[in-house]
Amino acid sequence: MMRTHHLVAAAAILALVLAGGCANVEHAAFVTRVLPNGVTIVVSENRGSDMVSVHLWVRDGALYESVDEAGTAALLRSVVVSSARNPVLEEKAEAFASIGGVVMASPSHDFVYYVTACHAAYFEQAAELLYMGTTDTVFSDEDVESAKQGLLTSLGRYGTNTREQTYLACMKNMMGDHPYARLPYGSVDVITALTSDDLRERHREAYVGRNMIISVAGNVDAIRAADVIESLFCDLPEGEPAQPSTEAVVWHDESNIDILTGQGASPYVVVGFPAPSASDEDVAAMDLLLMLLGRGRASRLDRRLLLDEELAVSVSAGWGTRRQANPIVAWVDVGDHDVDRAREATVDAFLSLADDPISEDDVTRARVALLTEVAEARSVMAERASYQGYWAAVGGIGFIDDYTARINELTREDLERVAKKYFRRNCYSVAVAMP
Amino acid sequence: MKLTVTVIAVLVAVASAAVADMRQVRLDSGLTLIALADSWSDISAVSVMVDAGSRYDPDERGGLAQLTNEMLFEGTRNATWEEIVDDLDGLSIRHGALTSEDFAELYLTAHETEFDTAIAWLAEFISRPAFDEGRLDLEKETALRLLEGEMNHAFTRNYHSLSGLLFHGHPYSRPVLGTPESIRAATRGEIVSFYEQHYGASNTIVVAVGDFDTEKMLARLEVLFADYPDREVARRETARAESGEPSELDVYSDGEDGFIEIGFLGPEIDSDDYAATQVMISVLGDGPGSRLADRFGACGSAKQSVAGAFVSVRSEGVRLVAYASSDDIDATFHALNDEFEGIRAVAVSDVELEQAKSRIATRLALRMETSKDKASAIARRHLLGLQSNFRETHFERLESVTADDVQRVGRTYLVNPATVIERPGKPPRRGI
Repeated sequence: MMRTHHLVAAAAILALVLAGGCANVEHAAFVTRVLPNGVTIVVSENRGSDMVSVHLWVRDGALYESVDEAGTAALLRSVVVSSARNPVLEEKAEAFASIGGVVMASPSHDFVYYVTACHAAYFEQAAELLYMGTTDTVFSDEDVESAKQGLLTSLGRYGTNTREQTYLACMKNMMGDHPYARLPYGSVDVITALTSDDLRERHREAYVGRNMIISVAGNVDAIRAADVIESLFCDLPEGEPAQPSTEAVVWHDESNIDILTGQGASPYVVVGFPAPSASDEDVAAMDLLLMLLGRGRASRLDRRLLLDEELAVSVSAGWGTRRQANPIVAWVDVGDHDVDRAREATVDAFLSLADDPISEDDVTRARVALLTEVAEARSVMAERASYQGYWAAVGGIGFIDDYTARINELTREDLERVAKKYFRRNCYSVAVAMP
Repeated sequence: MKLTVTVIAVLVAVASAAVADMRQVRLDSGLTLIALADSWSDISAVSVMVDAGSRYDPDERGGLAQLTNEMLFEGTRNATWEEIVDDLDGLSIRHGALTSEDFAELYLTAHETEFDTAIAWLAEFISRPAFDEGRLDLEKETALRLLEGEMNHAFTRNYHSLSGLLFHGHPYSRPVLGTPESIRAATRGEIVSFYEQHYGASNTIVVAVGDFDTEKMLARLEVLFADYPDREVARRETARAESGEPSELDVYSDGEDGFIEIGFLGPEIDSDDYAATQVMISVLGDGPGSRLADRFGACGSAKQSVAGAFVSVRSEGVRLVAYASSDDIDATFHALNDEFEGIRAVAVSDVELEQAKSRIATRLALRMETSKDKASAIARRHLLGLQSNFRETHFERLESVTADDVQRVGRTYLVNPATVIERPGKPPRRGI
């Protein structure tokens, strides 16, 4: 129980400090720092694991790109992880892999993130590798061309994926040209035209202190680990914080259905409803509504589509909580069942949350489901670091431990209010892929 | 050198801390209960492990151990399957069953607020199973699908064949899932009989890991598991597998690439040679930095997409397995044998030795991250008859392994291989 008390205390301190305009919290188990150059450091100490995971999150991704730049962040990430032209870095990367260390990176809409995981004894090697990899990047024409081929291959795979195409059609209906309605990997034309000079320039602008969050979780002394990270990243240029390329989408009172033909082996349905941004006060309630909608046998979607009426082969729901408002979505593999009935039942499952009373049992069940998911994610160090980095990147560091308290305070009236606000009959989108 | 010593020191320190918060009691019935306090996670786990793996399957009746274990979740004398899944699902309690050649394990994980309900359900599952006929039919369908999946995958398909060669005549030579025929033939009566013969307090261990008071947890487990049968369980005496003559099996498949698996019998897990053997296998084929990865991953002329080696621990015979896929299977076969010979002929370098130890430390750390990982590891260690401080002493042994030790165990255990080679295409036509 000691750890919980520590974290609660840390969160309370954090809220007070943030309110005062400073953002440094030093605690035995949990440390957050904002360096003078803007780099944010979040460290949680966990002695229950022998692992450590160090993540670097950069505010660089589709949200910060115009249509003409779409894919620059993704290509830059591919070049950064390719250390072939930097012999010192290559040697360090090979040494890290040979002791069982793992390195990976991925682009997203709000950020690009770099991940290392290894035995805690190698924390400093992981941190140094992450620092060198993201700051000593060599932009050779050969590496850029190689990275382009890899990214274009990935794009080609998405182009033939029914689930992805149906999802994008639904997003396009809801969000038009907003970056969240396109793949974070960009477009073929832009990627093909990008040069090493373009990437060098983007790196100079985006990989700066005010856009970086370094998140550490594992069997390390939290304060010492923060010191190590600070010593590595303290000289990074401050730079300018990344600005979204567009305003947040405004949800219009308009519902629509898009039918895609010649897709997949059996009908596939994606339904999207409006949802808030990560910084919105409704975010915790929407997370609980997501649990009620699509987690487990008692959820609205499972009950309606799988158990009561047998209208689908599988159904799931998800919500990417992002810096700007982003829809909540249900995916339905219809199989041999009636696609119209499956589509209507999916929409009804959303609307039932707004139309029908939400019981106390519902709230309790949703709360347990959500807190369990959060606790599960935080019990594996790589996921714990990801969780911290994610929230610090999209919601600010104050969000991290405030979240659990907010979940516990929510009432069924809160959920009903948020459901009525977002799940409206005249504001949703459906995309259907037909064979 | 300094790097690895640091790793070992950290591991020993962590393991010692864990042992200090662990309490164990053996009830009059013979049931062993263990509680480990872990205040670093909000997720708690409970594992029940029984010495009732597939090695106890009667000859020609493979799959009974697996079906019996899976059926424990499928309804009890007090609750139907629907009632069980509704309750577990509503509380986000995760559950699973794992059956190996040696052991059958049931486990539940839950948020700490729901953990008492989880352990109550686990006690109910193992103490009062219903073995409903209708649920058995569904479970048999699931087993058949799993077996089909294994047979569609080159590694598992050939692993079955390799086990047959390595352990011919021994129960380990049979697939845990059984065969399509034995699965279809399994009856409720056989499942009940397997349960009554092999599930008893004296061969079962219950391990709970979570943020709780260990004394109170042991008292609670004692109450919940009071009805678990205290009876004589049937033990099957099998001779330990012995290394025999080299053997080889050629099979053919429709795939484009060939697949090769080579197995050896290794030392027992409590042997002085075990740590050195683990290091040897890591040098040979444990990802980046190991010899198979260097040879097949970066420099191989053939199109090898997979190559590696691992140690598989069983109560009656540790096996060492190397594997690779390739479009030139004969060249790969020779390359693998070159690597075995390299281990036997020349002492490994200091760098290789230290990197291998570090990789092992990281792999072991990864396998012990969650409460469930910890509960399963403790239960398994107990049923294997290992000391409670095995983890600490094992890391000390790893630290002391030398290049000479690696060469010595290579010469001792990389002998008399069992080889399965899967070639693409059809078998050659034989003349009269």
